[in-house]
Amino acid sequence: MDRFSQLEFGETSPEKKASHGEPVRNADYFHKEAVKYWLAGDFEVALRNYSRVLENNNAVFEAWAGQVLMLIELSEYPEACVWADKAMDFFPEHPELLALKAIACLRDAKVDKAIAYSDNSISKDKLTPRVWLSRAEIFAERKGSIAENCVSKAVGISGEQAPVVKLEAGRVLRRKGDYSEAIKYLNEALREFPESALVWYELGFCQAKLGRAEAQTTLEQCLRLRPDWNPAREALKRFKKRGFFRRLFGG
Amino acid sequence: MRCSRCSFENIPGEKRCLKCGSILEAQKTKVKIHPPRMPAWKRPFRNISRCFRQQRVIPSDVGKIKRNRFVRTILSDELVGLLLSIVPGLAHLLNGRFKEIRLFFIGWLALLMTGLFVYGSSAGFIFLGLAIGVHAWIALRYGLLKELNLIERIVAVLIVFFVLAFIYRNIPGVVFRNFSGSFSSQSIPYYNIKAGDFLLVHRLSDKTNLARGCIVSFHPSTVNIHNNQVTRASETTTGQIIALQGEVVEIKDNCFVVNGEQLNSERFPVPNWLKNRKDSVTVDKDSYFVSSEYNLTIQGVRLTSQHVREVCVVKADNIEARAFMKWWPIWRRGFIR
Repeated sequence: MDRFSQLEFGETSPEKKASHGEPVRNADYFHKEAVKYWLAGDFEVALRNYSRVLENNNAVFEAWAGQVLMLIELSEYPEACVWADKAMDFFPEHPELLALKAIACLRDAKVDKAIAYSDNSISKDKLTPRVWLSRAEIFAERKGSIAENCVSKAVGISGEQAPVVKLEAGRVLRRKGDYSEAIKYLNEALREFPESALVWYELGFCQAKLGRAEAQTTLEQCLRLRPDWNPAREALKRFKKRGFFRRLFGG
Repeated sequence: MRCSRCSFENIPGEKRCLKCGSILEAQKTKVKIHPPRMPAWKRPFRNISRCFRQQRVIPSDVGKIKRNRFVRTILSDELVGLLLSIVPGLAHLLNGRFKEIRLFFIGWLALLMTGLFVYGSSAGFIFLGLAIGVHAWIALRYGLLKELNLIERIVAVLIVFFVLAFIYRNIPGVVFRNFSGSFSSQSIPYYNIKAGDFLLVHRLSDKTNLARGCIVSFHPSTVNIHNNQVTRASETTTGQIIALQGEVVEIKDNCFVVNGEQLNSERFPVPNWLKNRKDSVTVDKDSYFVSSEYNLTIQGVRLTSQHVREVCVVKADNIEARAFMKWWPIWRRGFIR
């Protein structure tokens, strides 16, 4: 990779011939890069890569959805909603975009809207796992096993996307506070993505919450994969520093 | 062309799917592909508004606010959460999950109010005990009890319960420094007070200006009669001021006589231990003659006027507060005029 390869020249950029052995920088390539960075927990770079996918081909739905997802990961919820609307210009009423919008609203503490979007998304045909995952997240605090059922449905229809869906399912359950169940999904995701710092972090976080000793190794592995990641470093520090009360009360 | 979303077979050359409206191929026209971004300065304002929104919606971990590192660290610490829980529900409020414990909070408030309303009775203590229990439960409600086994839970609840009981015992002394409560030691028919009634007292700043008939809370002097300690300075009791400094008190026919003038026995009743006695006591400077039961249980010892003087003449400095209200029982509740 030469040092100016990441610069954006728009339409005026010179056509660059791929040299021998160097990957072709097309939409597929950037999509893979985006997923790679997302799995590394580097959402900002993943977002940029999704934009590059669209530069190459603006009909790639995954790139639009990925951009919205990355905005949510970066806690830019109103922007995520705006961008989901923009994506819906090209993919009207797409259930996944509605589900993403529901998640953005939920995390922005607009629960009524979130439920409305989720209801809308679930009423569409050809539901994606994301629709059920968003549903699980929205109803995580409700009594009963609504969230668990939604997660099961998401995993059930995941098909080829199973590892990614399991990772997301683990994250949803982690947010819900169901750490034991989250660990099961994350362990399965880890088999597929052993190099993903995000999976290691989520797993370590859950283990730490349960007060398990292996959390330290897991978080250290996460930091080995991505040494500069602050959340993992803080989680590890917190885990190491936990005192009597934390051990007594768990977490 | 087959639509990737709905699998509808479209006519070649169509830009959008006829069934679902999705784009079928990349558009040649320039499309904005970079999403809008949030300026960094907006983040704290958004966090604040989100925090407020969270108080009126379903509080949950899912909508957790991304706080700055310091606040996040502080609030994520269970011990600090416990410390914040000295005010019931505060930690939950800051963590945006107040609605989860709102019923407990209402229960706590109701128990506390009822306990305070009937304070001074056994029921009052039971209600306050329950309020402390609910408070302990609120403090441990979220997260803390999730991963503990039964014994650890009981230990945790008991630890928090006793800590809170200690705090409840001492907070009134800090918050309401000038107010306190005390049980009446004798019956005073004029004020409709009976022995054991709970009185509210107001701490005195000027102790030299008390009037005859005031009901006061005070530390009695420590008196030894035949090696038998009858009153203790460490204990607080209530009594009625009968005579002021320099006055001469006599006890005749179960009535107090001050400077030769007999006092009304309903308003200034003679305590049981002084009945059927004939004594004469002169009150010292900066002292009062305070009538009270003093919890005397001396039997087989002959009390003299000197003993009465030692017991009943109380230094002004030992007087703490003046009773201003009968609190319990409810049917006798009212101000002492």
